[in-house]
Amino acid sequence: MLKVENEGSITYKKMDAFEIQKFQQNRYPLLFIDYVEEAIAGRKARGYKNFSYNEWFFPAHFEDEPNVPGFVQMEALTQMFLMSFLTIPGNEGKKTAFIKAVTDFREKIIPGDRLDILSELDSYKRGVAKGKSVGYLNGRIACKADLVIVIPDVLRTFRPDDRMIESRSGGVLQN
Amino acid sequence: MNNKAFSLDAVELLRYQPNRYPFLLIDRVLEVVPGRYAKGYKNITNNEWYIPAHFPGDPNMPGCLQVEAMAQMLTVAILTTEGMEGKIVHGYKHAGTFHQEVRPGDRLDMYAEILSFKRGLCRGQVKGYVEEKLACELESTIIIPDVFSQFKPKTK
Repeated sequence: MLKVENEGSITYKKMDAFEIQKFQQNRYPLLFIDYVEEAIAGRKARGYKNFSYNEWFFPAHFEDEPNVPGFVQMEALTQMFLMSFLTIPGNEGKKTAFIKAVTDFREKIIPGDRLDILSELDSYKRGVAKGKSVGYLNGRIACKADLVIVIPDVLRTFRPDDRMIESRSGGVLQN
Repeated sequence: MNNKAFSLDAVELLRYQPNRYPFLLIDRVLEVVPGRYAKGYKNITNNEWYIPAHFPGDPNMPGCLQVEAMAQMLTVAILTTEGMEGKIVHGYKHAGTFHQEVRPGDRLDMYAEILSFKRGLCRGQVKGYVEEKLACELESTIIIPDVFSQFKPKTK
């Protein structure tokens, strides 16, 4: 991995599987990106996911016609999007949650394909990230998503009254 | 014998060779001439069962599985010949050489060539490349017991 700091912006290049897991908490069998070519903190991320028949969802979806389930495409698009704001200093390794995801599916993706993903962050405020992700197969758009994702830990620090969240987490924080 | 080249995707592979998930280590065969050679690849991804364990902190494809992937490519070159579809294949001798690590996100391109195939016994050579650089090699002898047993001398 290469870290380049330039006039206040931080760029990570050539981030491999192990380094990706330092920034986000998704793990096998739900880690759906393999390589980040470039992540500019607070702006965008670019990388890819390889699809192999040796993944758990292919034999079941479907037996006679293996193709990538929509939710996996959605998750891969989202995980690349995470890299655009979890790279902001202080956000490394934080957990995230969905607020909204609108996904379009254009092409069937089969074992052996490589999905190139480009994610752009439009705004990041108080733990809420808005933006979009586009997935390409050999240069053609295969799927895309408009996303709103939250880092609950960060958002919580801005809430005037977070007793509701605490009671839902079993009151651990109150004690 | 049909000597025309053709390609196979993951489903068609299931028809020709007996390995199944989670032990089918080929994703696509780009070109195969039955009885002569097979070319294809396997995508390596984080989302495979052996990556988290091998190793935490330094994920790469185990050498034994590189050998298996290359051996499977060799079996594709044989099992596509007429009358051999889906037969069980056993390894008899594998000699693997490993030149560089194969990591998640890589595509392992494999080229398998049959050197000789007689009486159910096949000798072959396979080379694996990552981005056109040689990553691993295999010299292999494999047996198709179904065919081989027909040639065994009968004992009382």
